[in-house]
Amino acid sequence: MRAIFLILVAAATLAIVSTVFGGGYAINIAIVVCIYVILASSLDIVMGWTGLFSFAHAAFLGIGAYTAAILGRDFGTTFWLNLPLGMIVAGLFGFLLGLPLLRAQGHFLAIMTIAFQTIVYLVLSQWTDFTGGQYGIEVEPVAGFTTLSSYFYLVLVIAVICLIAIRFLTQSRLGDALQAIRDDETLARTIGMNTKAVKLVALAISSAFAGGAGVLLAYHIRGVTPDDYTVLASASIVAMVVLGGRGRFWGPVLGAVLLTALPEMLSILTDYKHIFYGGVLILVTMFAPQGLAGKFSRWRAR
Amino acid sequence: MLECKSIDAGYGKVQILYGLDFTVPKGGLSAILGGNGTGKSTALKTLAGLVKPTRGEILLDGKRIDGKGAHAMAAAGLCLVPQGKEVLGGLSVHENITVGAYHRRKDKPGIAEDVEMVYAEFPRLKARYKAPAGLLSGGERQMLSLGRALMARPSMLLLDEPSAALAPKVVGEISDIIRKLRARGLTMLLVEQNVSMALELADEVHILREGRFAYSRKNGPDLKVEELREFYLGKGQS
Repeated sequence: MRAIFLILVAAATLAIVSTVFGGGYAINIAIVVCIYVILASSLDIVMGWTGLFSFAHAAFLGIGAYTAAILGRDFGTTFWLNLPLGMIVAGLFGFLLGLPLLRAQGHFLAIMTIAFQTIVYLVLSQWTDFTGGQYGIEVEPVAGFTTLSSYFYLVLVIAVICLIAIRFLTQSRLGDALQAIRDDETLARTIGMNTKAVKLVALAISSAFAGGAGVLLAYHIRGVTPDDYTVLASASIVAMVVLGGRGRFWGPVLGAVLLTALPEMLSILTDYKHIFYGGVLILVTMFAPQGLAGKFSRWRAR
Repeated sequence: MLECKSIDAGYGKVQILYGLDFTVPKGGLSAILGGNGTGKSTALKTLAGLVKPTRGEILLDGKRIDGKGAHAMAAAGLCLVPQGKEVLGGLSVHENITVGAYHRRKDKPGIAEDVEMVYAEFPRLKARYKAPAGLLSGGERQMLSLGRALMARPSMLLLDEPSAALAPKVVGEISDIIRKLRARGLTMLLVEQNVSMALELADEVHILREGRFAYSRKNGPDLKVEELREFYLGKGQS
């Protein structure tokens, strides 16, 4: 309950700071921060809580975004239908990927996610008739939320809902099962957990949230192009989770805020964003393997 | 009651177990002894559903349980107590205990009752209920494994070397706990390297050698430790 209160406080702070003290540019960053908070928190369901390293999160982001764009283009559906459909389609792909993926473990699993990520990128960039190729697809703004600040509030509300849902999920019986699998899968099975089913569900839910974030991103930049959904984007989401702290609710939130906002504020960094991410990853694994949230809780414990 | 009828098992083309045949009667305690590489772990994994037998049947209280998969075993009433070091290190002691009742999700009052029972049985766990399980000592972890298994309300426990890597005094404590559980009517199968512990506790002793039972005897005054030692060390002939 305290966590939900804190989520609302953080959201209100972000809303006030970006609208009162910043102009359009600040609101722009705030929207991207919200989207990446959803992404990092949902990746943490599989990475931190279940212990499966996935470098395919941007693929699910892209699947969600393209679902919305293609549905809007071919069927004229609105945001309110595209958002749940984007989540469902991404979740379904997560489930399908899980069927072969979960036969592997450890590094092999990570490599398979990179392969999937690459396949998705190639389909998005090469299947020109369907996806628009490198030109992508234009997306009309959400009716009623055409101004930047009104769209920001919409994204903020959705991000808060997602975070509360993820909080409930990780505190539930499923959350216990995920942690048990992470700590010792054989033991989890002998306790009576159908670990394969649990992992599949986790992967599908995590992918669905990423798909939702993709829909939000597509409506924010008012279009989709394949280069937003590369393995580099996936790696940056991984960097956010690792920096913030795996398997802790506030970890990925913190990581997403820092790694999205910092390069924007220090404009020199923008061009060297990925070098910055790489450096951060190396430093964090050396000096704070549990991430910033892990460091913080150790300070508090002292 | 656990019945194993001519079990063969192995990994891929490699056969490890050859025709294991034994019964643990209701409320009984049998021990399987053997050195390293004799098939003890494979036998245990097969019973726990982690390895599928290639031949034979396993029955628990008259119902077939082989081939159902490990996750179905706890609900069927068979619970593995892994070696002491295997706890869910990232969860607290309390969470480790409650997670043992995973398949009994609806039975909240029953779970609360059983948690109290486990804490009454293992006061040392109660004292450290908030600590991460990874910080417990070897003996405490073994107790935690036992407590977690009890949360499933099993009819049968499979104990994997409960004495492994423990100080002799702690082994004594664990033996006392096993005796207590037995007095409550639990059927148990003890897989051990520790011969004296097994002889102290079990009604029947099997010695596993090269995947077969080389020796099976009822425990009692006429069981000669020397004879058993010879089979254990590989000199005796069956």
